[in-house]
This record gives sequence, C-alpha cells and structure tokens, in this order.
Amino acid sequence: MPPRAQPERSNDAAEFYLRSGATAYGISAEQFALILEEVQRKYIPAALPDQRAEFLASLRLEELALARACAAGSERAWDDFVSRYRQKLHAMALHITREATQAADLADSLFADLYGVNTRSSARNSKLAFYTGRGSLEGWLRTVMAQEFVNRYRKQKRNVSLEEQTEEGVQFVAHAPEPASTGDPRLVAATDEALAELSAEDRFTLASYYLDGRTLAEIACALGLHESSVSRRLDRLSAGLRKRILAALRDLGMSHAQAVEALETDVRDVGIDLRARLTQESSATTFNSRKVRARDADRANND
Amino acid sequence: MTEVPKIVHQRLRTGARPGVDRDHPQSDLLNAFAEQALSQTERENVLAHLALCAECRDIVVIALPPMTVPEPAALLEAESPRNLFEGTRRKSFLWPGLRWAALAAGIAVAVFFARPELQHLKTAAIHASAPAGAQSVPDLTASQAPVDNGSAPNSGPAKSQAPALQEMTGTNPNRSVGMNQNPASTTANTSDNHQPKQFGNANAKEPIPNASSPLIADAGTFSHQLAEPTRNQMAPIVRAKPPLDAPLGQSAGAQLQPGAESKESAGSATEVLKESPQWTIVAGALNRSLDGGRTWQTVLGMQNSLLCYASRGRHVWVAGHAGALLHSADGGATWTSITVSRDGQPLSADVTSISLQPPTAISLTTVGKGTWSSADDGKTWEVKP
Repeated sequence: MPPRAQPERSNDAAEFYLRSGATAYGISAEQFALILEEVQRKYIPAALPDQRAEFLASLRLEELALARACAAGSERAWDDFVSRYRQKLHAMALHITREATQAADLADSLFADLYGVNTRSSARNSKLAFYTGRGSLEGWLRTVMAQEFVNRYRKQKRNVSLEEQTEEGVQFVAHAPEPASTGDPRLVAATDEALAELSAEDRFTLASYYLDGRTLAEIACALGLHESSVSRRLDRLSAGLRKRILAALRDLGMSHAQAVEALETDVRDVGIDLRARLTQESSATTFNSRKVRARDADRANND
Repeated sequence: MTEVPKIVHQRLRTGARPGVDRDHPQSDLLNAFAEQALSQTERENVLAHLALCAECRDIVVIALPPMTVPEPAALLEAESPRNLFEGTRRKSFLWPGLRWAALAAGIAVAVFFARPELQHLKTAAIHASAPAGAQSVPDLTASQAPVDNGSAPNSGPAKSQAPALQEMTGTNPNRSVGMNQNPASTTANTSDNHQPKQFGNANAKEPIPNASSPLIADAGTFSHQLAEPTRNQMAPIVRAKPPLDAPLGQSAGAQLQPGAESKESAGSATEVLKESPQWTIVAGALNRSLDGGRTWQTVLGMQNSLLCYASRGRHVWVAGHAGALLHSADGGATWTSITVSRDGQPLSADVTSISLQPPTAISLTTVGKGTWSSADDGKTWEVKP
C-alpha cells in the first residue's frame, strides 16, 4: 500500500481549491483535495510537503476541476466543456486526419468516450477521469485523439483490401525473411557501443529523423527546441557517431583504412537488408513510410 | 543534413526490439512531455522510452499543435540562449585557421567602426539641441528617447505614418521600467486589486536586439552581439543614448521637430514606425518581431498558457489560462503580472480575448466567467455576466 501523502497546509489547500473554480461545478473542497491527493500519489507518492505543494501548484487546477466535474456528471461542467472544446476537437481531428469524414468520425467517437457512454452498466465511465492536470487539457485531448487515430490506423492496416494490396503491388509478396547477418560483428559492436553512449534525447532525435522521417520542425516542437538547434544537433551527432565508430573499430584491431572501408561497405550492403527489416515491433514506418522510402530510393539512385 | 552510416539506422531499429519498454507512458505524461511540463527526471524517463518506441513517438508528433510559426526561415534567426550556445559551435568555426582569421577581421571591423561611433556619440551629446536639418537624421533633444535600431534607414514618405505616431505618443503617459531598475519603485503605488509581480526578463530568452526599448539597450547588447556579432558593429549609431528616465511617450512624435520637415525626418519617422513591435502567440508563448515580421523572438513563454494579447503602442497586455494577465509598458522588456479580481475573488477562468479602449479601459472575455472590464488600466475590475 502506498504511503499516504501528508495533507498540504490548509491555506495551500484552500488556495488550490479557490484557483480551481471547482465550486462552480459543485465539487466540494474535500472532494477536490481527494482528487489532488490521487494525482499526487500517482506521480510523487513519497513527496515531502514542500514538494507536494510545488507539484500541486504546477497542475492545471482549473482544467482538472472541469475534467473531473464532467467525469462526475456535472451538467454545468459538461456545458462548459462543450463550449470550450467541441470546436477545437473537430479542428484537431481535421488536423490529424486531414479528411473531413474521418475527422468527424474521430471527433465524435472521442466525444462519446469523454462523455462516458457505457451501455452495460448504467454508470458513466468517462475518459476525462484520467486527466490529471499535467499539461493543458487541450494538449491532453490532442494526445488522446492521436492515440485513438494510431490505434484505428493499425486496425485498418490489418484489414487492407485485396484491391489496395494489388495497387500497392504487395499482394503476392512473400513473408519477409529473417534479416541476414549484418556482416562484421565488430562493426555491430562498435555501433552499439557508440549509440549506447548517447543520451536519450540524442537517440530520440536520431530515431525521429532517420527512422521516422520526421521534419526538423516536428522534432524541434516535441523537444521544445528551435529547428536550427535540431539541425545542428543532427550534424553533430552524425559526425560524432562516425568518429566514435571508427575509433571503436580501430580499438578492435582494424586499421583506419579497414575501419573506413567496413563502414562504407556496410552502407552499400545493408541497403537491401534495411528494407527487409522494416518490422520494428511498433513499426516506425506507419506514417512516414513513403517519406523514408522516397529518401532511400533517392539515395539508391545517387549511389 | 549529414547522413549517418546505415549501420546506425539498423542498430537504432534493432536496438528498439529487445529493450523496448512495453509499459507505455500514459497520455497525460506524453502531453506534459510535449508541453515541456515534466520534471527533469520524468522527462529523461519519457525520452528513454520514446527513443525506443516508434509508436509513442508517432503519438507525440501527431498530437503536436498545428504549427503557426510565422516563417521558419525567419525563425532561424531566433536567439534563444540554447541557440546562442550552439551557434558558437558552427562547423566552419571549428577550423582553427578560419576561427583566427574571423577573430582578426572582427577586431579590425570593431576598431574601424568603434572610433567614428564614439566621436559621433560625443558630438551628439554636445550638440543635443542643434537645429534640425544639419544632420543626416532628425534632431533629438536631450530628453528624447533614442532609436537605436541597427536597421537600414527607410526613406519612405512620412504622410501615412502620422496617425500612428500620434497614437504611439499619446499612449505612453507612464515611464517604463528597465531591467536594471528597482522593481519596487513601480509597485509602490498599486492598490489591493492590482498586485504586480515583476517578471525579470532574465528568463525571456532574447533581450531586445534592436533596442526599441531604450532602457534595455545596454542589457541586451551582450547576448545580441553573441548571436549576430556584426550587426551592432556595422550599423553606425546615429543618435545619442538618452538618460535612463527618458519618457517613452516621446519616442516617436515628439522627436519630429515642427521645423524639421526634410526627407531625412520622414525617413526617420518610418524607422521609428518600423520598430513598433509586432506580436503573435505561438504554442502559448508570446513572440515579438521588431523588424516587420522578418524575425521573431519569444519574449514570454508560460508553458502553453497564453491565449491572447492586445497592444497599444509600446504597451502590450497578454492573457491566458486561469485568469493570467500580464502587462508590459515597454514593448515587452519587462512584465507586470496583474491580478484580476473583484471583491477579493480572483478571476480563475481562461481569458480568450482582450480588448482595449482608449485611454485606459481594458476588457477581458473569459470562458464561462463573463466579461471583466477595467477603466483604470487594470487596477480595479468590474464583472458583467
């Protein structure tokens, strides 16, 4: 059982309650304190009182109160929610799907989930009960919608019609064989070692750009950086990786010329192998396969 | 963009397989990550997962808000501290020879331009009240605010700018607060309903490069030079710096002496107008352009919490989530937080629009909490349901 959090100072609790505007939706101070305690226990179960107060102050209290009031069935809260987010949800859906019918479908289905339609039991089971006030409610709605969109896409992907398969030319494609060995194990070891030295943020940047085909702007936005910083970082990373791999290969007994050749030989050989290996468990090519394929094709032409 | 060896692609892909954490972060964590609202430890954990999980990377990127950044090319010049740091490590400057050559050239240019600039400053200080027309720029009195814009002078006609100039002049009755002034001096006369907190602009990543606010010109010089070493050096300073307490209200119209109706005066008027800041809100952060929208800098970022703004001359109000309202009287150099409250009850709803009515009336449209209006620049508030 998780340790019970210490109650925050009473003036803090009162201030949080006041700031949240929860009273307008019929949530009492005690109920709101329980909501805050639940959120705090989820993220910082063993927090000191000061940490707890700081954490709670960082939450979007007003939006949290609105979401929880909606989940609890407050009509007034739901009216507020609809007036604030209905239009936005449709705009978000259109932004994500880029197609009006799909957008309407996605937005309506999410709206139903948010309202909490549950036919088996009479109780409403609203998704809004999962909002914890970390980040904006609007951003959370976008994320939930994106998740729903990805799930739908994956489901549809499994049910591709024969016509579509024929158009894509993959109707009679055999199952992808297990990828062949990359070649020199020393190269693999050197590369793994170089990648392991990178920070998580650097690996995220590399994977987003080189595997997912994301744009600099998208990566920059996700990391809270400027595009030019991401661009410079990618330059620095690719140069650094190359240097580290070469150094590691030399440590493994290769001469400089051999190390360079191993790296370049691999570039030529692995090209085909890579296409066969687009089977990452959570496929990175879902949304950007065309982009990446086009880039690989360009590269092959250039070679 | 430099390509990485394909073995790196391959190992990045295959590296994701065995190590991927199947316990995906929940939507609220992914959203808080994208909104930069996580603690450092949480952020590291989420990034470690994202580096391995293409599915979550997809969700994060798909859920990003539509990008409304004015012009990516223009934003390349944005000068965040991070960019400044990374900008100093540009590839070309990694070559030692080029680095030294650039340094020598920089010193030569600085020496060449610094001397006439100093002489000019002296001249301007001595002849501060010299008649107009004798110089290539309109004359300024000693108490007039300067325009140290560093941009090319515009010699367009002044006809169409007259109303705007009057507006700029008429809407700045109060003196502004510089970064190096004591904030307490500005808070002394505030009422209970108007409880300002000074937001030091240390957090605002970019000091105003062109110093359209004269009071922060000195404070902004260092960072600006780091980013664009030649701009300040190359552009001759054409006017003397004012005393720190020069009233901003005189910055535009008052500079134009009645008798100075030369083309140079018209050109300078255009210059002043060009410096009137432009504003936009991108992803909850307030951005400002001092050069007609060519480049933008983030002046106030509050984690996606800003929703609307309104400006009048150099005064700008910005508002957002949970009744947040901030005011700057000096073009965004310093900010004052205004507590919007009525009978001790603070406004807690999101503010979706601000409208300004001359001379000092403000009204805020909120979500579900009516319209809040103030007739005295935000000191006291009335609520209309």
